[in-house]
Amino acid sequence: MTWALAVTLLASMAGRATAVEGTGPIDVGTEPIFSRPSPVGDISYTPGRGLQVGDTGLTLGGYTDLVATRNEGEDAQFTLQDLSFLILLRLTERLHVFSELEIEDVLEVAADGHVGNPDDRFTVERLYLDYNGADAFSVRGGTFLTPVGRWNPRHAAPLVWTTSRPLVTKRPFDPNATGAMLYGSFFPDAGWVSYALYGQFAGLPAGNPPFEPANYAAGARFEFTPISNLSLGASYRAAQKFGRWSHLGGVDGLWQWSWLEVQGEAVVEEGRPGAQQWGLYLQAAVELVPRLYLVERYEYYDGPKPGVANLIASGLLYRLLSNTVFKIEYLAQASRSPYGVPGVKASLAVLF
Amino acid sequence: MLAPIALCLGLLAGLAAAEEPLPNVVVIVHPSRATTVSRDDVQRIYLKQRRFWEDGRAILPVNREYGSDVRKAFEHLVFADWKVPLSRYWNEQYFLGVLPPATLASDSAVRQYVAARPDAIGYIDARNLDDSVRVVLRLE
Repeated sequence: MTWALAVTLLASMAGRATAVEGTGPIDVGTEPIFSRPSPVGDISYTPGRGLQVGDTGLTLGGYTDLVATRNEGEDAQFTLQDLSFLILLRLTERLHVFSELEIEDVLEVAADGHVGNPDDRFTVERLYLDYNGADAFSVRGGTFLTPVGRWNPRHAAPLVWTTSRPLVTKRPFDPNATGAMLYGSFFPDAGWVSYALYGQFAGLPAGNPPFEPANYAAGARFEFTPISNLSLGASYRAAQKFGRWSHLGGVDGLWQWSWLEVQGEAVVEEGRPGAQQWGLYLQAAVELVPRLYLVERYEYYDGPKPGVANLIASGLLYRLLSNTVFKIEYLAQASRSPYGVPGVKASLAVLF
Repeated sequence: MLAPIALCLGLLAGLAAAEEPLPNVVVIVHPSRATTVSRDDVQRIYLKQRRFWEDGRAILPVNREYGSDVRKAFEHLVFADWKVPLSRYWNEQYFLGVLPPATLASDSAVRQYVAARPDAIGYIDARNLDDSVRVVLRLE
């Protein structure tokens, strides 16, 4: 009888294992949690997919990121680091307007309880008009994220594995550009190839952070996704700043398996005196138990300042819900460097 | 005395958790759309990577609601090679300004939607098929 009991319990457990197989974070982005009729159609809200305003084609959403930082030799502080609003307006099937408006460092609470917002900035991260003529041919005009590498065009806190950002994904180029872009996709036998060709010929909208953008820039990006879990990219950008041109080239890759994800980027910039720089990062995320990942990243950066950065980020990421992640990491310097401050960062990021 | 009861409870729990076979799924378009699509095409369309038909008209993909058997079967068959939850893909697309396909709550709603729109594509349980739509792919 004991063996029958054991077999039965095992069968029951096997059934349960089948039922929960592949269970990821609780998926909240599938159905609206709120829906009300209105004169313009149903107004509905789906977490992580935004508020859809009836049949107007308008969707309002965004993301936010609450960060706790304890750098070595400094007091701890809490910051509402990002409050970003995404606004999508579909005018027709082919024409839409998209914008990301961001308030950075909204609120800061020091270890002694002092509350302030010393560096709060309103930023027009993106504001553009898209015309989708065909799969292989779309046109974008306005302010967009510079398509260099993999991190910058997808930099939202709920999408990335660490609270800190690799230096090579932000220092060698302007994070956004104002101009025009031609982009599209081609479909070989399997997967797809995406491209973007762009030119920057206008200043950034008022209110952007006070980085000095290039006067002119032009670039290209290609991304090849031969199979669903592998993507390879290459980027080029030429930029004129202070009357001199510089040239940036980069390669990047992403490989995903059910419990493992490896991602990396390498960028080199040459040309303008004082702007030579190069760097790379390689990052791996391993699922330890469902929803909990160990994240390790090595990065190297040799920038305009004397000295190089050798940084190692070690941390954990927990997916509470499909739109909500908690991250904690320790950033260590393998050698003394003018870049990157060692310490602990933790954050809670929500896509809403 | 307790062993037979435990045996019955265990069997019941196992039976309750056992998966029912997923339905056969057919991918459907408007009868006027003379096109063929492969499983890869369907995947690209439902990821909104491919957005236009060969004649240049915008594709209108429609999903069944999350959790329905036919959607489970569709995703199992079309995204079998997908290694991460689709929610992560759509989180990224949402940030890029792309929303997932609209959903409808029944096979008959999907069939009527597709039958009324020459640019639509949908999928339903093969048992709910009728002549109002054209099958472009059988997923089994």
